[in-house]
Amino acid sequence: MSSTRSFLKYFNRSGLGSLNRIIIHSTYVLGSKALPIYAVSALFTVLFGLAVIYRVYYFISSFLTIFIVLVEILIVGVGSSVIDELREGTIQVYLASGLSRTEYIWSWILAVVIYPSIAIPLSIIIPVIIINPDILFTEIRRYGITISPYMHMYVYALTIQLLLHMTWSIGIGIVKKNKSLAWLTVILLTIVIPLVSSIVTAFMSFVSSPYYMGRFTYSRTLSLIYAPYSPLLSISVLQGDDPLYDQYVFLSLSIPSIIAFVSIVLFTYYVKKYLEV
Amino acid sequence: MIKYLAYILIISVIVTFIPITISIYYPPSSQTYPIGRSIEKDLAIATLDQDGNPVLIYISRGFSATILDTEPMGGYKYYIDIRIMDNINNKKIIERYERYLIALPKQTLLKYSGVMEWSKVQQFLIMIHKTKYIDLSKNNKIDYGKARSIASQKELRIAVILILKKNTKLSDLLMYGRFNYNLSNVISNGIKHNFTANALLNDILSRLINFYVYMVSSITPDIHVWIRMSTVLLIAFILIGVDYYRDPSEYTWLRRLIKRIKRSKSNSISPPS
Repeated sequence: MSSTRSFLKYFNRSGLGSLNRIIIHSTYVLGSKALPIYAVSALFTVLFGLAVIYRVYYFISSFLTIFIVLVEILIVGVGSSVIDELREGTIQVYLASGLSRTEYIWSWILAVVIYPSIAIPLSIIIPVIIINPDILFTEIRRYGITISPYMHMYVYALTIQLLLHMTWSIGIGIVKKNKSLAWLTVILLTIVIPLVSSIVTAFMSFVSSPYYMGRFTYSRTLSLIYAPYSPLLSISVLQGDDPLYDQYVFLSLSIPSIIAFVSIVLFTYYVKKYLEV
Repeated sequence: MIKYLAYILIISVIVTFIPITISIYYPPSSQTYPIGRSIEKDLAIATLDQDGNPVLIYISRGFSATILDTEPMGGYKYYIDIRIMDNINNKKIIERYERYLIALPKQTLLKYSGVMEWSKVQQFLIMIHKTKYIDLSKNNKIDYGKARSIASQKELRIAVILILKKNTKLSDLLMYGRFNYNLSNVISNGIKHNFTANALLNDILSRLINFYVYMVSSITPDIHVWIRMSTVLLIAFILIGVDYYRDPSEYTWLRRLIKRIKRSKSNSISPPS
Protein backbone atom coordinates (compact mmCIF):
# COMPACT_ATOMS: atom_id res chain seq x y z
CA MET A 1 0.00 0.00 0.00
CA SER A 2 2.74 2.41 0.97
CA SER A 3 4.59 1.83 -2.30
CA THR A 4 1.38 2.44 -4.29
CA ARG A 5 0.74 5.62 -2.31
CA SER A 6 4.27 6.87 -2.87
CA PHE A 7 3.99 6.09 -6.57
CA LEU A 8 0.70 8.02 -6.82
CA LYS A 9 2.25 10.93 -4.92
CA TYR A 10 5.23 10.89 -7.26
CA PHE A 11 2.96 10.78 -10.28
CA ASN A 12 0.76 13.61 -9.05
CA ARG A 13 3.80 15.75 -8.29
CA SER A 14 5.64 15.23 -11.51
CA GLY A 15 3.45 12.84 -13.54
CA LEU A 16 3.15 14.30 -17.04
CA GLY A 17 6.44 16.21 -16.86
CA SER A 18 8.19 13.03 -15.82
CA LEU A 19 6.53 11.07 -18.62
CA ASN A 20 7.59 13.72 -21.11
CA ARG A 21 11.19 13.58 -19.86
CA ILE A 22 11.17 9.76 -20.15
CA ILE A 23 9.87 9.99 -23.74
CA ILE A 24 12.39 12.69 -24.71
CA HIS A 25 15.33 10.77 -23.25
CA SER A 26 14.22 7.43 -24.73
CA THR A 27 13.82 9.12 -28.13
CA TYR A 28 17.34 10.50 -27.76
CA VAL A 29 18.65 7.02 -26.84
CA LEU A 30 16.84 5.43 -29.78
CA GLY A 31 18.17 8.08 -32.18
CA SER A 32 21.47 6.25 -32.38
CA LYS A 33 20.18 2.73 -31.66
CA ALA A 34 17.11 2.33 -33.89
CA LEU A 35 18.97 1.51 -37.12
CA PRO A 36 19.83 -2.15 -36.29
CA ILE A 37 16.23 -2.67 -35.14
CA TYR A 38 14.97 -1.21 -38.45
CA ALA A 39 17.25 -3.60 -40.33
CA VAL A 40 16.06 -6.66 -38.38
CA SER A 41 12.43 -5.57 -38.78
CA ALA A 42 12.84 -5.16 -42.55
CA LEU A 43 14.42 -8.62 -42.79
CA PHE A 44 11.61 -10.16 -40.71
CA THR A 45 8.97 -8.44 -42.85
CA VAL A 46 10.43 -9.81 -46.10
CA LEU A 47 10.90 -13.33 -44.74
CA PHE A 48 7.51 -13.56 -43.04
CA GLY A 49 5.78 -11.99 -46.05
CA LEU A 50 7.30 -14.68 -48.27
CA ALA A 51 6.49 -17.40 -45.70
CA VAL A 52 2.82 -16.37 -45.65
CA ILE A 53 2.50 -16.04 -49.42
CA TYR A 54 4.27 -19.31 -50.20
CA ARG A 55 2.65 -21.12 -47.24
CA VAL A 56 5.89 -22.16 -45.60
CA TYR A 57 4.19 -22.61 -42.24
CA TYR A 58 6.96 -24.67 -40.68
CA PHE A 59 9.31 -21.78 -41.41
CA ILE A 60 7.37 -19.50 -39.05
CA SER A 61 7.94 -21.62 -35.94
CA SER A 62 11.41 -22.95 -36.75
CA PHE A 63 12.77 -19.64 -38.03
CA LEU A 64 11.45 -17.68 -35.05
CA THR A 65 12.92 -20.03 -32.47
CA ILE A 66 16.34 -20.16 -34.14
CA PHE A 67 16.82 -16.70 -35.59
CA ILE A 68 15.53 -14.92 -32.50
CA VAL A 69 18.77 -15.96 -30.74
CA LEU A 70 20.78 -13.73 -33.08
CA VAL A 71 18.23 -10.91 -32.78
CA GLU A 72 18.37 -11.00 -28.98
CA ILE A 73 22.18 -10.92 -28.99
CA LEU A 74 21.99 -7.90 -31.33
CA ILE A 75 19.47 -6.08 -29.09
CA VAL A 76 21.59 -6.74 -26.00
CA GLY A 77 24.56 -5.31 -27.93
CA VAL A 78 22.53 -2.19 -28.65
CA GLY A 79 21.07 -1.94 -25.14
CA SER A 80 24.23 -2.60 -23.19
CA SER A 81 25.40 0.96 -23.96
CA VAL A 82 23.67 1.85 -20.69
CA ILE A 83 26.38 -0.19 -18.90
CA ASP A 84 29.06 1.83 -20.75
CA GLU A 85 27.37 5.06 -19.59
CA LEU A 86 27.38 3.71 -16.06
CA ARG A 87 31.04 2.71 -16.11
CA GLU A 88 32.27 5.83 -17.86
CA GLY A 89 30.20 8.16 -15.66
CA THR A 90 28.19 9.72 -18.51
CA ILE A 91 25.08 8.96 -16.46
CA GLN A 92 26.06 11.79 -14.06
CA VAL A 93 25.53 14.32 -16.85
CA TYR A 94 21.96 13.16 -17.37
CA LEU A 95 21.19 12.91 -13.64
CA ALA A 96 22.61 16.41 -13.08
CA SER A 97 20.40 17.85 -15.83
CA GLY A 98 17.16 17.16 -13.96
CA LEU A 99 16.54 13.55 -14.94
CA SER A 100 15.76 11.33 -11.94
CA ARG A 101 17.11 7.80 -11.65
CA THR A 102 13.62 6.33 -12.18
CA GLU A 103 13.13 8.44 -15.29
CA TYR A 104 16.58 7.49 -16.57
CA ILE A 105 16.01 3.76 -16.05
CA TRP A 106 12.49 3.93 -17.56
CA SER A 107 13.74 5.77 -20.63
CA TRP A 108 16.24 2.92 -21.15
CA ILE A 109 13.56 0.29 -20.51
CA LEU A 110 11.38 2.01 -23.13
CA ALA A 111 14.21 2.28 -25.65
CA VAL A 112 15.97 -1.07 -25.37
CA VAL A 113 13.40 -3.41 -23.79
CA ILE A 114 9.88 -2.29 -24.69
CA TYR A 115 10.57 -0.73 -28.11
CA PRO A 116 12.28 -3.83 -29.67
CA SER A 117 9.66 -6.06 -28.01
CA ILE A 118 6.96 -4.14 -29.89
CA ALA A 119 8.84 -3.30 -33.11
CA ILE A 120 9.98 -6.82 -34.02
CA PRO A 121 6.60 -8.51 -33.44
CA LEU A 122 5.02 -5.61 -35.43
CA SER A 123 7.33 -6.38 -38.36
CA ILE A 124 5.89 -9.93 -38.35
CA ILE A 125 2.26 -8.91 -37.86
CA ILE A 126 2.19 -6.14 -40.51
CA PRO A 127 2.95 -8.35 -43.58
CA VAL A 128 0.51 -10.97 -42.27
CA ILE A 129 -2.23 -8.36 -41.78
CA ILE A 130 -1.60 -6.95 -45.26
CA ILE A 131 -1.36 -10.25 -47.12
CA ASN A 132 -3.84 -12.46 -45.29
CA PRO A 133 -5.08 -11.44 -41.81
CA ASP A 134 -7.04 -14.69 -41.35
CA ILE A 135 -3.77 -16.48 -40.63
CA LEU A 136 -3.34 -14.56 -37.38
CA PHE A 137 -6.44 -16.07 -35.79
CA THR A 138 -6.74 -19.38 -37.60
CA GLU A 139 -5.30 -22.56 -36.24
CA ILE A 140 -2.88 -24.05 -38.72
CA ARG A 141 -4.12 -27.57 -39.20
CA ARG A 142 -3.35 -30.30 -41.67
CA TYR A 143 -5.42 -33.48 -41.98
CA GLY A 144 -7.23 -32.65 -38.74
CA ILE A 145 -4.11 -32.23 -36.60
CA THR A 146 -2.89 -28.90 -35.26
CA ILE A 147 0.61 -28.44 -36.62
CA SER A 148 1.21 -25.02 -35.17
CA PRO A 149 -0.54 -22.76 -32.64
CA TYR A 150 -2.29 -19.58 -33.70
CA MET A 151 0.13 -17.06 -35.14
CA HIS A 152 -0.98 -14.29 -32.78
CA MET A 153 0.11 -16.61 -29.95
CA TYR A 154 3.53 -16.94 -31.53
CA VAL A 155 3.80 -13.18 -31.81
CA TYR A 156 2.66 -12.75 -28.20
CA ALA A 157 5.20 -15.36 -27.05
CA LEU A 158 7.91 -13.51 -28.99
CA THR A 159 7.00 -10.21 -27.30
CA ILE A 160 7.09 -11.77 -23.83
CA GLN A 161 10.35 -13.58 -24.56
CA LEU A 162 12.03 -10.36 -25.73
CA LEU A 163 10.75 -8.49 -22.65
CA LEU A 164 11.99 -11.24 -20.33
CA HIS A 165 15.40 -11.78 -21.85
CA MET A 166 16.20 -8.10 -22.34
CA THR A 167 15.13 -7.22 -18.78
CA TRP A 168 17.18 -10.00 -17.21
CA SER A 169 20.31 -9.64 -19.30
CA ILE A 170 20.51 -5.83 -19.18
CA GLY A 171 19.47 -5.84 -15.50
CA ILE A 172 22.22 -8.29 -14.53
CA GLY A 173 24.69 -6.30 -16.68
CA ILE A 174 23.80 -3.08 -14.81
CA VAL A 175 23.92 -4.70 -11.36
CA LYS A 176 27.39 -6.17 -12.00
CA LYS A 177 28.45 -3.20 -14.22
CA ASN A 178 29.73 -5.79 -16.70
CA LYS A 179 28.77 -5.85 -20.37
CA SER A 180 30.03 -9.41 -20.88
CA LEU A 181 27.62 -10.64 -18.22
CA ALA A 182 24.72 -9.21 -20.21
CA TRP A 183 25.91 -11.14 -23.30
CA LEU A 184 26.44 -14.28 -21.22
CA THR A 185 22.93 -14.05 -19.72
CA VAL A 186 21.26 -13.78 -23.11
CA ILE A 187 23.33 -16.69 -24.48
CA LEU A 188 22.47 -18.77 -21.41
CA LEU A 189 18.76 -17.96 -21.74
CA THR A 190 18.50 -18.59 -25.48
CA ILE A 191 20.95 -21.45 -26.11
CA VAL A 192 22.53 -23.12 -23.08
CA ILE A 193 19.62 -23.51 -20.62
CA PRO A 194 17.12 -24.71 -23.30
CA LEU A 195 19.68 -27.24 -24.53
CA VAL A 196 20.42 -28.54 -21.02
CA SER A 197 16.67 -28.63 -20.25
CA SER A 198 15.93 -30.72 -23.33
CA ILE A 199 18.77 -33.14 -22.54
CA VAL A 200 17.62 -33.53 -18.92
CA THR A 201 13.98 -34.02 -19.95
CA ALA A 202 14.96 -36.56 -22.61
CA PHE A 203 17.02 -38.43 -20.02
CA MET A 204 14.13 -38.33 -17.52
CA SER A 205 11.62 -39.65 -20.03
CA PHE A 206 14.10 -42.36 -21.11
CA VAL A 207 14.83 -43.54 -17.57
CA SER A 208 11.33 -43.37 -16.11
CA SER A 209 8.69 -45.77 -17.36
CA PRO A 210 5.45 -44.42 -18.87
CA TYR A 211 3.72 -45.50 -15.64
CA TYR A 212 5.75 -43.00 -13.59
CA MET A 213 5.66 -40.28 -16.26
CA GLY A 214 1.85 -40.45 -16.22
CA ARG A 215 0.35 -37.33 -17.72
CA PHE A 216 3.74 -35.66 -18.02
CA THR A 217 4.82 -36.78 -21.46
CA TYR A 218 8.12 -35.59 -22.91
CA SER A 219 6.62 -32.64 -24.80
CA ARG A 220 4.43 -31.53 -21.88
CA THR A 221 7.31 -31.70 -19.39
CA LEU A 222 9.65 -29.84 -21.72
CA SER A 223 6.99 -27.21 -22.40
CA LEU A 224 6.53 -26.59 -18.66
CA ILE A 225 10.31 -26.42 -18.10
CA TYR A 226 10.71 -23.93 -20.98
CA ALA A 227 7.69 -21.82 -19.95
CA PRO A 228 9.30 -19.59 -17.27
CA TYR A 229 12.14 -18.38 -19.48
CA SER A 230 11.37 -19.22 -23.13
CA PRO A 231 7.70 -19.02 -24.14
CA LEU A 232 8.54 -19.39 -27.84
CA LEU A 233 10.21 -22.75 -27.30
CA SER A 234 7.52 -23.70 -24.82
CA ILE A 235 4.66 -23.42 -27.33
CA SER A 236 6.79 -24.86 -30.15
CA VAL A 237 7.47 -28.20 -28.46
CA LEU A 238 3.82 -28.95 -27.71
CA GLN A 239 2.27 -31.62 -29.92
CA GLY A 240 -0.84 -30.68 -31.88
CA ASP A 241 -2.75 -33.90 -31.17
CA ASP A 242 -2.29 -33.56 -27.39
CA PRO A 243 -5.75 -33.61 -25.73
CA LEU A 244 -4.57 -31.01 -23.19
CA TYR A 245 -3.02 -28.82 -25.89
CA ASP A 246 -5.04 -25.65 -25.14
CA GLN A 247 -4.36 -25.86 -21.40
CA TYR A 248 -0.62 -26.23 -21.94
CA VAL A 249 -0.53 -23.35 -24.46
CA PHE A 250 -2.29 -21.21 -21.84
CA LEU A 251 0.34 -22.17 -19.24
CA SER A 252 3.17 -21.55 -21.72
CA LEU A 253 1.96 -18.00 -22.27
CA SER A 254 0.63 -17.01 -18.86
CA ILE A 255 3.61 -18.16 -16.73
CA PRO A 256 6.22 -16.07 -18.65
CA SER A 257 3.80 -13.10 -18.84
CA ILE A 258 3.59 -12.95 -15.04
CA ILE A 259 7.36 -13.40 -14.72
CA ALA A 260 8.00 -10.66 -17.31
CA PHE A 261 5.73 -8.23 -15.45
CA VAL A 262 7.40 -8.99 -12.12
CA SER A 263 10.87 -8.72 -13.72
CA ILE A 264 10.17 -5.23 -15.10
CA VAL A 265 8.84 -4.06 -11.73
CA LEU A 266 11.92 -5.48 -9.98
CA PHE A 267 14.16 -3.96 -12.65
CA THR A 268 12.71 -0.50 -11.97
CA TYR A 269 12.86 -0.67 -8.18
CA TYR A 270 15.99 -2.72 -7.70
CA VAL A 271 18.34 -1.87 -10.57
CA LYS A 272 18.14 1.91 -10.03
CA LYS A 273 20.06 1.39 -6.76
CA TYR A 274 23.03 0.34 -8.85
CA LEU A 275 23.03 3.46 -11.00
CA GLU A 276 25.90 4.93 -9.01
CA VAL A 277 29.31 5.31 -10.54
CA MET B 1 9.20 6.86 -29.22
CA ILE B 2 6.00 7.26 -31.23
CA LYS B 3 8.10 8.45 -34.14
CA TYR B 4 10.13 5.23 -34.14
CA LEU B 5 7.00 3.08 -33.87
CA ALA B 6 5.47 4.93 -36.82
CA TYR B 7 8.71 4.43 -38.78
CA ILE B 8 8.56 0.68 -38.08
CA LEU B 9 5.02 0.62 -39.50
CA ILE B 10 6.13 2.53 -42.62
CA ILE B 11 9.21 0.33 -43.11
CA SER B 12 7.11 -2.83 -42.72
CA VAL B 13 4.55 -1.64 -45.27
CA ILE B 14 7.21 -0.58 -47.79
CA VAL B 15 9.20 -3.80 -47.37
CA THR B 16 6.00 -5.90 -47.73
CA PHE B 17 6.01 -4.72 -51.36
CA ILE B 18 9.00 -7.05 -51.97
CA PRO B 19 7.22 -10.38 -51.25
CA ILE B 20 4.02 -9.08 -52.90
CA THR B 21 5.93 -8.08 -56.07
CA ILE B 22 7.68 -11.45 -56.10
CA SER B 23 4.31 -13.21 -55.71
CA ILE B 24 2.86 -11.26 -58.65
CA TYR B 25 5.67 -12.42 -60.97
CA TYR B 26 6.10 -15.88 -59.38
CA PRO B 27 2.63 -16.77 -58.05
CA PRO B 28 2.57 -19.49 -55.41
CA SER B 29 1.63 -22.84 -56.87
CA SER B 30 -1.83 -23.92 -55.83
CA GLN B 31 -1.54 -26.68 -53.32
CA THR B 32 -3.53 -29.76 -54.15
CA TYR B 33 -4.71 -32.38 -51.72
CA PRO B 34 -6.21 -35.44 -53.38
CA ILE B 35 -9.06 -36.10 -50.98
CA GLY B 36 -10.82 -38.79 -52.93
CA ARG B 37 -8.32 -40.10 -55.42
CA SER B 38 -10.03 -42.16 -58.11
CA ILE B 39 -13.48 -42.39 -56.56
CA GLU B 40 -15.21 -45.72 -57.03
CA LYS B 41 -18.19 -46.02 -59.38
CA ASP B 42 -21.36 -47.19 -57.63
CA LEU B 43 -23.39 -47.22 -60.81
CA ALA B 44 -22.13 -47.98 -64.33
CA ILE B 45 -24.75 -48.78 -66.95
CA ALA B 46 -24.50 -49.39 -70.68
CA THR B 47 -27.71 -49.20 -72.67
CA LEU B 48 -29.19 -48.30 -76.03
CA ASP B 49 -31.63 -45.40 -76.32
CA GLN B 50 -34.79 -45.45 -78.46
CA ASP B 51 -32.75 -44.34 -81.52
CA GLY B 52 -30.22 -47.13 -81.01
CA ASN B 53 -27.41 -44.85 -79.77
CA PRO B 54 -25.17 -46.39 -77.12
CA VAL B 55 -25.59 -44.59 -73.77
CA LEU B 56 -23.23 -44.95 -70.80
CA ILE B 57 -24.37 -43.75 -67.37
CA TYR B 58 -22.16 -43.41 -64.32
CA ILE B 59 -22.79 -42.36 -60.74
CA SER B 60 -19.79 -42.22 -58.43
CA ARG B 61 -19.61 -43.23 -54.79
CA GLY B 62 -20.51 -40.37 -52.40
CA PHE B 63 -17.62 -38.28 -51.15
CA SER B 64 -19.32 -36.02 -48.59
CA ALA B 65 -17.55 -37.73 -45.69
CA THR B 66 -14.16 -37.11 -47.31
CA ILE B 67 -14.93 -33.41 -47.69
CA LEU B 68 -16.17 -33.14 -44.10
CA ASP B 69 -13.15 -35.01 -42.75
CA THR B 70 -10.67 -32.76 -44.53
CA GLU B 71 -9.63 -29.76 -42.45
CA PRO B 72 -8.42 -26.87 -44.58
CA MET B 73 -5.28 -25.04 -43.54
CA GLY B 74 -6.06 -21.65 -42.14
CA GLY B 75 -6.07 -18.42 -44.03
CA TYR B 76 -6.45 -19.58 -47.61
CA LYS B 77 -9.29 -19.83 -50.04
CA TYR B 78 -10.14 -23.38 -51.03
CA TYR B 79 -12.15 -24.94 -53.77
CA ILE B 80 -13.02 -28.48 -54.73
CA ASP B 81 -11.74 -29.41 -58.15
CA ILE B 82 -13.62 -32.31 -59.77
CA ARG B 83 -11.87 -33.92 -62.70
CA ILE B 84 -13.48 -36.52 -64.92
CA MET B 85 -10.89 -38.36 -66.99
CA ASP B 86 -12.05 -40.44 -69.94
CA ASN B 87 -10.20 -42.86 -72.18
CA ILE B 88 -12.08 -42.03 -75.36
CA ASN B 89 -9.64 -42.17 -78.27
CA ASN B 90 -11.89 -40.66 -80.87
CA LYS B 91 -13.79 -37.63 -79.55
CA LYS B 92 -15.87 -37.37 -82.76
CA ILE B 93 -18.08 -40.27 -81.66
CA ILE B 94 -19.48 -38.27 -78.75
CA GLU B 95 -23.09 -37.19 -79.37
CA ARG B 96 -23.72 -35.67 -75.95
CA TYR B 97 -21.60 -35.61 -72.81
CA GLU B 98 -23.35 -34.50 -69.62
CA ARG B 99 -21.40 -34.19 -66.36
CA TYR B 100 -23.07 -33.19 -63.11
CA LEU B 101 -22.39 -32.94 -59.44
CA ILE B 102 -25.49 -34.39 -57.82
CA ALA B 103 -26.64 -34.22 -54.22
CA LEU B 104 -28.54 -37.37 -53.27
CA PRO B 105 -30.11 -38.04 -49.88
CA LYS B 106 -27.68 -39.75 -47.53
CA GLN B 107 -27.73 -43.56 -47.39
CA THR B 108 -29.08 -43.88 -50.94
CA LEU B 109 -28.14 -47.41 -51.98
CA LEU B 110 -26.73 -47.69 -55.49
CA LYS B 111 -24.77 -50.68 -56.71
CA TYR B 112 -24.87 -51.89 -60.29
CA SER B 113 -22.47 -52.46 -63.12
CA GLY B 114 -23.48 -53.83 -66.50
CA VAL B 115 -26.08 -53.53 -69.24
CA MET B 116 -29.68 -52.51 -68.67
CA GLU B 117 -32.74 -51.94 -70.83
CA TRP B 118 -33.56 -48.34 -71.82
CA SER B 119 -36.96 -48.40 -70.10
CA LYS B 120 -35.34 -49.29 -66.77
CA VAL B 121 -32.60 -46.68 -67.18
CA GLN B 122 -35.15 -43.85 -67.28
CA GLN B 123 -35.47 -43.75 -63.47
CA PHE B 124 -31.74 -43.08 -63.13
CA LEU B 125 -31.80 -40.33 -65.75
CA ILE B 126 -34.72 -38.64 -63.98
CA MET B 127 -32.89 -38.96 -60.64
CA ILE B 128 -29.73 -37.37 -62.06
CA HIS B 129 -31.60 -34.45 -63.63
CA LYS B 130 -33.69 -33.86 -60.50
CA THR B 131 -30.79 -33.89 -58.05
CA LYS B 132 -28.16 -32.13 -60.16
CA TYR B 133 -26.41 -29.38 -58.26
CA ILE B 134 -23.70 -28.13 -60.61
CA ASP B 135 -23.12 -28.68 -64.32
CA LEU B 136 -19.52 -29.83 -64.30
CA SER B 137 -19.12 -29.38 -68.06
CA LYS B 138 -19.41 -25.61 -67.45
CA ASN B 139 -17.63 -25.31 -64.10
CA ASN B 140 -15.74 -28.05 -62.35
CA LYS B 141 -14.51 -25.93 -59.42
CA ILE B 142 -16.76 -25.51 -56.38
CA ASP B 143 -16.17 -23.22 -53.45
CA TYR B 144 -15.10 -25.32 -50.46
CA GLY B 145 -17.51 -23.63 -48.06
CA LYS B 146 -20.49 -24.31 -50.36
CA ALA B 147 -19.44 -27.91 -50.92
CA ARG B 148 -19.01 -28.40 -47.17
CA SER B 149 -22.46 -27.01 -46.35
CA ILE B 150 -24.11 -29.36 -48.88
CA ALA B 151 -21.94 -32.30 -47.86
CA SER B 152 -23.18 -31.99 -44.28
CA GLN B 153 -26.78 -32.51 -45.43
CA LYS B 154 -26.56 -34.65 -48.55
CA GLU B 155 -24.31 -37.12 -50.29
CA LEU B 156 -22.31 -35.54 -53.09
CA ARG B 157 -21.74 -37.76 -56.12
CA ILE B 158 -20.56 -37.28 -59.67
CA ALA B 159 -22.91 -38.31 -62.45
CA VAL B 160 -22.04 -38.75 -66.12
CA ILE B 161 -24.36 -39.38 -69.05
CA LEU B 162 -22.41 -40.20 -72.19
CA ILE B 163 -24.41 -40.56 -75.39
CA LEU B 164 -22.37 -41.90 -78.31
CA LYS B 165 -23.02 -42.17 -82.02
CA LYS B 166 -24.50 -45.30 -83.56
CA ASN B 167 -21.36 -46.14 -85.51
CA THR B 168 -19.09 -46.16 -82.43
CA LYS B 169 -16.55 -48.97 -82.44
CA LEU B 170 -14.72 -50.42 -79.48
CA SER B 171 -11.44 -49.14 -80.90
CA ASP B 172 -12.85 -45.55 -80.60
CA LEU B 173 -13.22 -45.93 -76.86
CA LEU B 174 -10.22 -47.60 -75.31
CA MET B 175 -7.01 -48.95 -76.74
CA TYR B 176 -8.95 -51.88 -78.24
CA GLY B 177 -7.13 -51.63 -81.55
CA ARG B 178 -8.01 -55.16 -82.60
CA PHE B 179 -11.69 -55.10 -81.52
CA ASN B 180 -13.37 -53.53 -84.45
CA TYR B 181 -16.84 -54.39 -83.13
CA ASN B 182 -19.73 -51.98 -83.17
CA LEU B 183 -20.59 -50.85 -79.61
CA SER B 184 -24.36 -50.83 -80.26
CA ASN B 185 -24.20 -54.49 -81.34
CA VAL B 186 -22.17 -55.43 -78.27
CA ILE B 187 -24.70 -53.69 -75.97
CA SER B 188 -27.72 -55.31 -77.70
CA ASN B 189 -25.99 -58.70 -77.33
CA GLY B 190 -25.34 -57.88 -73.68
CA ILE B 191 -29.02 -57.09 -73.11
CA LYS B 192 -29.74 -60.57 -74.58
CA HIS B 193 -27.47 -62.01 -71.82
CA ASN B 194 -24.51 -62.84 -74.03
CA PHE B 195 -21.74 -63.68 -71.56
CA THR B 196 -18.80 -62.49 -73.75
CA ALA B 197 -20.54 -59.21 -74.56
CA ASN B 198 -21.29 -58.61 -70.87
CA ALA B 199 -17.69 -59.32 -69.83
CA LEU B 200 -16.40 -56.95 -72.51
CA LEU B 201 -18.87 -54.22 -71.50
CA ASN B 202 -18.02 -54.55 -67.83
CA ASP B 203 -14.36 -54.08 -68.68
CA ILE B 204 -15.16 -51.01 -70.80
CA LEU B 205 -17.42 -49.52 -68.11
CA SER B 206 -14.83 -49.92 -65.38
CA ARG B 207 -11.97 -48.43 -67.37
CA LEU B 208 -13.56 -45.82 -69.64
CA ILE B 209 -14.17 -43.04 -67.13
CA ASN B 210 -12.45 -42.24 -63.84
CA PHE B 211 -13.39 -39.64 -61.25
CA TYR B 212 -10.94 -37.57 -59.20
CA VAL B 213 -11.74 -35.02 -56.50
CA TYR B 214 -9.05 -32.59 -55.40
CA MET B 215 -8.98 -29.83 -52.86
CA VAL B 216 -7.10 -26.86 -54.26
CA SER B 217 -6.05 -23.73 -52.40
CA SER B 218 -4.99 -20.48 -53.96
CA ILE B 219 -3.69 -17.11 -52.83
CA THR B 220 -3.12 -13.99 -54.89
CA PRO B 221 -2.92 -10.32 -53.93
CA ASP B 222 -6.28 -8.69 -54.49
CA ILE B 223 -7.78 -5.23 -53.89
CA HIS B 224 -8.10 -5.97 -50.15
CA VAL B 225 -4.31 -6.26 -49.90
CA TRP B 226 -3.88 -2.71 -51.20
CA ILE B 227 -6.68 -1.41 -48.92
CA ARG B 228 -5.06 -2.98 -45.85
CA MET B 229 -1.67 -1.63 -46.89
CA SER B 230 -2.98 1.93 -47.20
CA THR B 231 -4.82 1.59 -43.85
CA VAL B 232 -1.58 0.71 -42.04
CA LEU B 233 0.18 3.61 -43.79
CA LEU B 234 -2.63 5.94 -42.76
CA ILE B 235 -2.28 4.84 -39.11
CA ALA B 236 1.48 5.48 -39.29
CA PHE B 237 0.97 9.00 -40.71
CA ILE B 238 -1.70 9.80 -38.09
CA LEU B 239 0.82 8.78 -35.38
CA ILE B 240 3.47 11.01 -36.98
CA GLY B 241 0.96 13.89 -37.19
CA VAL B 242 0.02 13.55 -33.51
CA ASP B 243 3.66 13.31 -32.45
CA TYR B 244 4.62 16.27 -34.68
CA TYR B 245 2.33 18.57 -32.70
CA ARG B 246 3.91 17.26 -29.46
CA ASP B 247 7.45 18.12 -30.55
CA PRO B 248 7.97 19.49 -34.12
CA SER B 249 11.76 19.65 -33.63
CA GLU B 250 11.96 15.86 -33.96
CA TYR B 251 10.60 15.98 -37.50
CA THR B 252 12.96 18.20 -39.49
CA TRP B 253 11.95 16.53 -42.78
CA LEU B 254 8.25 17.18 -42.07
CA ARG B 255 8.91 20.81 -41.14
CA ARG B 256 10.87 21.32 -44.37
CA LEU B 257 8.07 19.66 -46.35
CA ILE B 258 5.40 21.86 -44.75
CA LYS B 259 7.53 24.99 -45.36
CA ARG B 260 8.03 24.02 -49.02
CA ILE B 261 4.28 23.44 -49.49
CA LYS B 262 3.51 26.82 -47.88
CA ARG B 263 6.13 28.54 -50.08
CA SER B 264 4.80 26.96 -53.27
CA LYS B 265 1.24 27.99 -52.30
CA SER B 266 2.27 31.58 -51.65
CA ASN B 267 4.14 31.66 -55.00
CA SER B 268 1.15 30.32 -56.89
CA ILE B 269 -1.17 33.07 -55.56
CA SER B 270 -1.01 35.87 -58.09
CA PRO B 271 -0.63 39.44 -56.77
CA PRO B 272 -3.81 41.56 -56.83
CA SER B 273 -4.04 43.69 -59.91
